[in-house]
Amino acid sequence: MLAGVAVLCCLPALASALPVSVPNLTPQQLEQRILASQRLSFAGYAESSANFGLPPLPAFSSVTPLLDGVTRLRVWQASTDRWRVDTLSDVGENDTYQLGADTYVWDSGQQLLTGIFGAETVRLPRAADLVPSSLAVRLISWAGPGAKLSSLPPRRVAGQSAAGLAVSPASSRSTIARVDIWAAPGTGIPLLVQIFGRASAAPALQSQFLQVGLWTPGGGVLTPQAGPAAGFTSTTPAGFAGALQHLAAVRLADRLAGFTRQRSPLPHVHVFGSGLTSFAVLAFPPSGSDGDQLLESALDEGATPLTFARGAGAVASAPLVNLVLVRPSSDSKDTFLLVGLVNKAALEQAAAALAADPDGDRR
Amino acid sequence: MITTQNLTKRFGRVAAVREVSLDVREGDRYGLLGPNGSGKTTLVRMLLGLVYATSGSISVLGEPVPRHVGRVLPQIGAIIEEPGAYPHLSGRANLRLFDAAGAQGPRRTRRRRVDEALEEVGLAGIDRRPVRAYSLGMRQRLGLAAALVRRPRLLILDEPTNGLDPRGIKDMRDLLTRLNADGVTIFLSSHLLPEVSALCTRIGVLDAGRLVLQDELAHLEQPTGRVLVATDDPERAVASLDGLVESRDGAELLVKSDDAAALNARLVAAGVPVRSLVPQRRTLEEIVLDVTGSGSDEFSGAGAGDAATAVNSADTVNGAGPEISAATDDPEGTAAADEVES
Amino acid sequence: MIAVELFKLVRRPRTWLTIGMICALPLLVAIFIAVTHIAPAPGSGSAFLSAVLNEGQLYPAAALALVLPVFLPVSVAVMAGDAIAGEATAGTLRYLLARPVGRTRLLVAKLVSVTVFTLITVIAVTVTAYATGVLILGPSRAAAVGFAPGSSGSIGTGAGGAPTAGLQAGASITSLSGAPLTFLELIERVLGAMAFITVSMLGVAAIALFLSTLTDSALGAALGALAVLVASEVLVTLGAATSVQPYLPTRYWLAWIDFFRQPIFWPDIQRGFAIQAVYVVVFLAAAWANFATKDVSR
Repeated sequence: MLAGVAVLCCLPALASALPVSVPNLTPQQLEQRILASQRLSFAGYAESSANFGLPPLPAFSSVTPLLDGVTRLRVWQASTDRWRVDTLSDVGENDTYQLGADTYVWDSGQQLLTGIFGAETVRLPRAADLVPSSLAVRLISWAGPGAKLSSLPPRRVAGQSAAGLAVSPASSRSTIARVDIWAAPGTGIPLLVQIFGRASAAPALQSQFLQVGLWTPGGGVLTPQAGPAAGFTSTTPAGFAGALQHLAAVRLADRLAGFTRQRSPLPHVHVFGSGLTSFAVLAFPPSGSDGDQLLESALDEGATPLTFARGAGAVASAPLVNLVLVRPSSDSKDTFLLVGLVNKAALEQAAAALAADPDGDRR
Repeated sequence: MITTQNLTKRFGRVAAVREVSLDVREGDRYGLLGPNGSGKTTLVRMLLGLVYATSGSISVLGEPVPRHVGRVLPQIGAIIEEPGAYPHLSGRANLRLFDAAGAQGPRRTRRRRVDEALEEVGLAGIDRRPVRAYSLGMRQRLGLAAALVRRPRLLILDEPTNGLDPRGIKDMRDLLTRLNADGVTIFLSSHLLPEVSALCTRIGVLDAGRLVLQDELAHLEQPTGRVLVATDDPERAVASLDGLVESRDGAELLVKSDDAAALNARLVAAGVPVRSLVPQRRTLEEIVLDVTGSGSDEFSGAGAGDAATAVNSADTVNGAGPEISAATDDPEGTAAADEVES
Repeated sequence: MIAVELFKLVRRPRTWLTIGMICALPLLVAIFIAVTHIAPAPGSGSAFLSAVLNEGQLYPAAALALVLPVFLPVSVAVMAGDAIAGEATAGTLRYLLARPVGRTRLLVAKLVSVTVFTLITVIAVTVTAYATGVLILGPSRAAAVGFAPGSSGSIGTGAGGAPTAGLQAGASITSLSGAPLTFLELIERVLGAMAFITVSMLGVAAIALFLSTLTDSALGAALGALAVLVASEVLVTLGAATSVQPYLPTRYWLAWIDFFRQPIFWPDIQRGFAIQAVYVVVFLAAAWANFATKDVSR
């Protein structure tokens, strides 16, 4: 009797302890297969869990839930630009359909289907980015050729044997210590992605397929539909870039604290570093008291105060992400927000350089 | 029909039944006597497979219990303490339900068997009232009807007359006697002496979990070899009987004699005016009190001794142990048999 | 014996009183919503409740969501807790066993009886809620206006384009995924949800039944089962208890709404069925092990 109960309770553990066998692949071969798997059609169910402990940021209300708690994702992918990802909740769902350049978003709570016509160059992270397959591909491409690749012992994920690949950023200044990816060795579809920060042995973010398989597209699954009582609206993807319009246009040096500036997809946003070791700099104009307000609200949210040789500031960190705000003492100068995947020391160093540099030339 | 060997049941450290070896024969009207708490109910429940024995063996209708209790029970009707019924259903619906619950209650004959059982216990006229509205006596009759629906070979009745009025007790006794005449063995447990002595042919006495007596009632109640004589002239009687008088209580004498007729002749010859002359028999009550200690719910300490001294002293019988009801209110009681008028 | 238990179930006034009270809650909610036209904001309150003002036909689903968390499990726990302990208290247990009714058969019959009670309740809630929804909240607004950008079913890039709204024959209500469901599909989904909810109650029933064999107090058994449920519901929402959550009896209770996704989302439904099966097996076995060797001394 007790033994029976014990067996029933151990079934999941036993199932995951089934022997796994994967073919011998070099890390590079596995990486190639993972990248190639993007072309496949598959469907599955994934759960991502993260514990960033972000404060509720009204401007990013669509993003913060993805980085705190569990996100349940239902995925159908015909190709890289023809897919559907549903975010399931206990009372409804939010679905994203990609049809070529167009995106449709269904919100079951609002009973509203929104069409977003035209490609977005830059957008906020969305649930679909957490699907293990796209997450793994994005991380590998960000890590770039400089990253160190190594093999991990195989394990059982989603009922399949999965081969493991560890990706470590080239720079030690990245907040990301390592990215572990397990993928089906045959298809290359990533089944489990774990991102580790420097501080904790537990992954800061994990996304895992609980079940996944090759899929023949059909059955109207990829076609957005709005039922009888639902509404439809459409928009263009200008929103995000437009929201950045009030940023100050500054010209910054090509190198900052040892990081090289790279081409930014957005106006007024400067990106330094590369791949998994990069950060963005946003400048807020000195007019009014925007800068003071920013600093105040950052401190209210629990950021740690900083003092620079020529200004005050604040630093906040979440797993994987650090943020530094610097308000130069001179009222004629911009307030800078630095946010990115580099460690606090490097970010503070960059902030100090910005505060000290009087020649953030106005254009 | 029922035999047990060294049957023992312990509840924790308390032994409710100790090494009981029952022997109930086919055709018996067997009465199991004992004060409350003597283990009667536990014993009955063990016979029915409701309580499992700690040690010892049980055989009912030739089958081991509880191993093959499923084969045995269909041939048994039982009342186990209070009758049980679903209060929101009518009596008839209850009987049908109980009959349908177990195997071997053929649906075909169910309606007829239920009606017959109700008629037998005197509930033929019941209407659709729910059992909730029944009196205790009606419920007891219904319980007996439920026991009879399967036309059992053996009736096991634990305190079946609880809550019945004298009329009901008489009806039940008549019914049980009639059923017994038709070949049904009856096993009845009770703490009421008159009930048992009026009905049973064989008795067992349970005391503090032990079976202290098991015998034919007729055998137990044989004459004691003494005669009770009541006379208006006790002095003359004592003088004429010359050493045979064992005790004297006013005008009543206890005389040692096997032959009441000869004693009567002798007294009459001596000119003693005999008012009444009765061969003494031990009453069931005396027998039971003789072999039992105090009731288990009596904690007076001296109880066992009191009960022992009470035996054979006729004037203390009515005041004996609290659990053994006296027979005085029973017209067919134990003491009235074989009265000889002078 | 199962037939006898079912007879007892349907002849018991308490059964119908309980079902009536459970059905009354959605009715009350519907009346309030219909009178005030204030539906809960989307994403808050019970599932589907925000949508019922527009789609009265969805009210059975909303009603099930209303009774699932408390009313249904409480009544099931009371019923199952009463199963053996109640018979023992009423003095009928010993007569059943002396009839004889095998103890295993009695347990199984009791579980079946509780299951049928749950099913009757769920059906009653669904039917009364459908009537309520259509009569009080009104049927789906206007005609079913389906919407499908591009030619539906065409795969590949470039299929997008300006969406074309049009009438879709047979479309009845909107699924959680936006796609319309035909009336036939709606019936299928509702039936599936009813079956799932009924099965979801089996774990509670088995726990209460087990406790009912332990004690002679029907109330004690019911409260014990409810304590397990409340503990489970607390742990389900507790992030720190993630490791035990897959084993909790209430973990997949909400998965019935997966029937209203398009296409149906099966994994949690399957797990829900499986976990209930495990609970039934374990606790029925425990109940059996306890009851079969128990002295029935009441």
